[in-house]
Amino acid sequence: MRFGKILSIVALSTLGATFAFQSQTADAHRTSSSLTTMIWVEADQSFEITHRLHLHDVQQALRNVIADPSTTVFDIKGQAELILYMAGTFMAESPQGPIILDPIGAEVEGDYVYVYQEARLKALPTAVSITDLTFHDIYSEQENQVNLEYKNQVTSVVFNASENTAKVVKLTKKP
Amino acid sequence: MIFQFTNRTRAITRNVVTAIAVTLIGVSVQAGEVGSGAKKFKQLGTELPTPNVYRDATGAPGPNYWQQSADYKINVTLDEENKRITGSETITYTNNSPSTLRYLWVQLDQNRFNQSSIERRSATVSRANSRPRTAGDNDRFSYNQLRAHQSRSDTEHGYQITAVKRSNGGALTHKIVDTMMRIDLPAPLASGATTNFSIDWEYNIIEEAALGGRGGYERFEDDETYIYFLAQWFPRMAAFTDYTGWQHKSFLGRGEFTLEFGDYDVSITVPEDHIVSGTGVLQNPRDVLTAEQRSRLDKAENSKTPVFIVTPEEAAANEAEKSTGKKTWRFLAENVRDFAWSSSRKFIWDAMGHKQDDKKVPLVMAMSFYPNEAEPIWSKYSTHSVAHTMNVYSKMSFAYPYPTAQSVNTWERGGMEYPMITFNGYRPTKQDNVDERTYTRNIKYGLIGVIIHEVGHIYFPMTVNSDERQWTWMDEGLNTFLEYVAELEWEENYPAFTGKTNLLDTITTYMRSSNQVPIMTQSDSIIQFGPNAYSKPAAALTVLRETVMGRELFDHAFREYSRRWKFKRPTPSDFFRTMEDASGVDLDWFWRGWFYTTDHVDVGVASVREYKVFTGDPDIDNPIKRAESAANEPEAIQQIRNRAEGIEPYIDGFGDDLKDVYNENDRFTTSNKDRNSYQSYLEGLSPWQKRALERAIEEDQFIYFVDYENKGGLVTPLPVTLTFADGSTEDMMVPAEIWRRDAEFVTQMYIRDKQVTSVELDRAHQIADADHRNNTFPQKVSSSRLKLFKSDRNSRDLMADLLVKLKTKKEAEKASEGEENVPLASTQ
Repeated sequence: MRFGKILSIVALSTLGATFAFQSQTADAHRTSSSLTTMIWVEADQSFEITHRLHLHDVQQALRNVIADPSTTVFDIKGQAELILYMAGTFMAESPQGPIILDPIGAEVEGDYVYVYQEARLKALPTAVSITDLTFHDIYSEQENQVNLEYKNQVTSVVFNASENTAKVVKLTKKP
Repeated sequence: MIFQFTNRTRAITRNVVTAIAVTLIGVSVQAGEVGSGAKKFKQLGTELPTPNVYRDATGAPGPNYWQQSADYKINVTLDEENKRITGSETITYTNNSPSTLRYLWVQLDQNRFNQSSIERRSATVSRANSRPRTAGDNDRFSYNQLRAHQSRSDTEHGYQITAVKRSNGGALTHKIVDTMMRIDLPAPLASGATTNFSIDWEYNIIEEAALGGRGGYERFEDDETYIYFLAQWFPRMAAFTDYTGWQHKSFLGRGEFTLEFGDYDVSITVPEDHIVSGTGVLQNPRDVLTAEQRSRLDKAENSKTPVFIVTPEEAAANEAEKSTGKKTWRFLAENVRDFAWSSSRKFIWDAMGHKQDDKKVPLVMAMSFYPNEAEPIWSKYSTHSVAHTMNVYSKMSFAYPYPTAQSVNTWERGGMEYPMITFNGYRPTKQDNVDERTYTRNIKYGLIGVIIHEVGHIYFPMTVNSDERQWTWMDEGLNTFLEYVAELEWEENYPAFTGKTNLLDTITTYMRSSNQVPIMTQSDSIIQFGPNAYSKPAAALTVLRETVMGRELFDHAFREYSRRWKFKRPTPSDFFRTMEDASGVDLDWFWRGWFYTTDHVDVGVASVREYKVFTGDPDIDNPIKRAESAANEPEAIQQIRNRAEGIEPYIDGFGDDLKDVYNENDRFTTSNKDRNSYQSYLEGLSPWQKRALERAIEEDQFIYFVDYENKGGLVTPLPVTLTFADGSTEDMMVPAEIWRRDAEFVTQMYIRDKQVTSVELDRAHQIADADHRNNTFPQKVSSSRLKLFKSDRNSRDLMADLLVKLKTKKEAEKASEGEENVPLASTQ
């Protein structure tokens, strides 16, 4: 079997109303998902962060929630809207203090949108606390996986739309 | 004699080795854990079930292999007004097992939609909007959830079993247990005996878009028309097997099923303007088709392109008419494990005869059914995709075993398979301001891919009857592999996986993840279902075919597996054993690594050292050593600058007074002692050693010691490319057995006539290597995506400016409007 994906508008309403997009995922082949690689670059003492998002998800989100219906991620304005949005959804900090993520840019390749961030630090932190809420407010089944890579070892953490707590990855400096 | 190893450097370093060196004890620079190779190459002993008389050690069905059979005669009526079916069936069940059966189990998959089902009662929902500025207790209720709730409230779902009777009409005791029903037999069914019984049932068809599922109806709101697609719609005999007894684990919506083979005689009564597509062959075309349609079908048999049996215009006319009379379509299907059908007045129908070199089934009717909403892409690609699938899959396994192969458009996305019939998604989109429907690249290749995938399932698991409720990968993984083979034979550069052609480049992200389970995990417990059960097994088999075994051995073994288990029920061990048995290749290490662990492939070239065989004759070797020393050790910069500044060496101020023999001769000057030593050495050589030395000196070859490291854990063959100084290259495949003693660090020696300038691993990306940055020696400069992006200063600066402006603008807007928030009221 192969699974399909259907988008439909969702209204949340008790006293007021808000609108968001929702993916039906009971039988979804491709649930809304993202993959982020966060790599520690020893030479630069920095984290390189690359978010890979599905083009279709980004376009729907930009047009219907993040910005206005004329927005497209194929132009730089739409990319900037996405980057600003993600500045509020993807966060990292360490026991040594906040990790400032500098936006670098975004680009579209094939079915994916890549968003780049960078964090320059004075030294490798002992741990990184990550929160990735990207599109959690838009797609109810959004699943974000973050692969943190240090010294060729990958640690994966996953953020489902039903959870908003940070996840901690400990980093131990190898001899 | 020099036999030195160097640490990893950025260039291949030259060392010298005399003829004596070949008798030296090698020095290992680095080694993996003791026994690491033994662990990776340990044979699959306890992991596999013990061979027995039902399944033998070669992976073939054993001498006493058995499977049950179930024949069905079914009458079903579609009540379109009430979206309901009513059916009755007579099942003829034969007990071929050695056991006596006191009761039988029947699957009632529609019961999963019942409010009291295990699936419904154990369902969970997402909670709380978690975006920071609105985080809190913001539980959500989506339109989809609302629609599902209303659909369940409005309509009762699940089977209504109205009768279970013996052949003489007497009632049979039965007990429904979620999606299963036990029927107690009046007398034990002995081995080899047959019994007949009948079941009457009815149920409300689900609206698939509301509840999700593998069948149901699709509503087209614009003109209030429908497509009905009935799957898992009748009480079906549960499988009874030698490896697990009754397969009566409740259906929770994911792990699909395995069933018994049998013959089906199915009569389907529907509105008279409907067109019906069903498993099997239509038996009464004169009753349900016009003379013109029958003529077109005849013509389609010999056509090389699809022929319309029902044209788009005729389908549109049917939709508008909505007649109320009834017609009965009768289908016969032999030796199938299931039956599905679809019915609609919206259907366009095209067909094309597919000829194949098979005496039993020389002609297959490839057919497609779809509404006008699916045009123009479906008439262009669907039936051709069906035919192409049969071409490729038949080449890889066996001739298509049935007389029809059908693709039916029943939904927007996704697909599902049944014998001879598949339900497939992907449609073009209708823009508001354009009359024509258009489709994107994703829609086009999505459609072709899903049809190949679902039609491919008619081979696996509809014919090779693996058990998806236990092992999803056995049909989804094998089928995704074959789908990939077919896609790459459809056209070059086919965007098969995430828009890319090479699956082995896309699977590595998943394989490096830490949140995985092995492929050999029971269906309901799999994490990351798609990569685990579909893509990774497909990648594994691609590596097996293209790199480990080669196409000839793999294809032979895979065809043998297909032949052995055609119309039978294999388990994973049958597949593993057959692939080894038929190819003569030990693959236990491969199955262990790819299917039983979550290791990934990451190998690298750790170091390369270059040597030449010297004569040992100091009068010949020493000048060469002097030259090499000069090349490898440049003059000290201090000495050069002293000379440039005119600093005169102290001893020069005394003429020759302070100079002696050491000033006249360097360390490479040959002494008589050296010559005597050489003569002694020559006299000590045996005749064969002398001959070998003379030949080596004459051939003057280059000797390389290459260190390979395994960082990912998964052992793999090494596709090695040597590039020579003259620009030519040499490719070789080092077998995975190189890791059999040390699975972490190994060294190979290569002797070549020409000088090597680089050593590269996996340049064709054929082993699913997760990190190619360490694959070349000397290392190539490689940049991450981010660094490449950053190198474009212009776009980066432009983005930075825009971000500042946009952020400023948004903050100003927020300040003027007040903070937006979503008020949700609690009833408490």
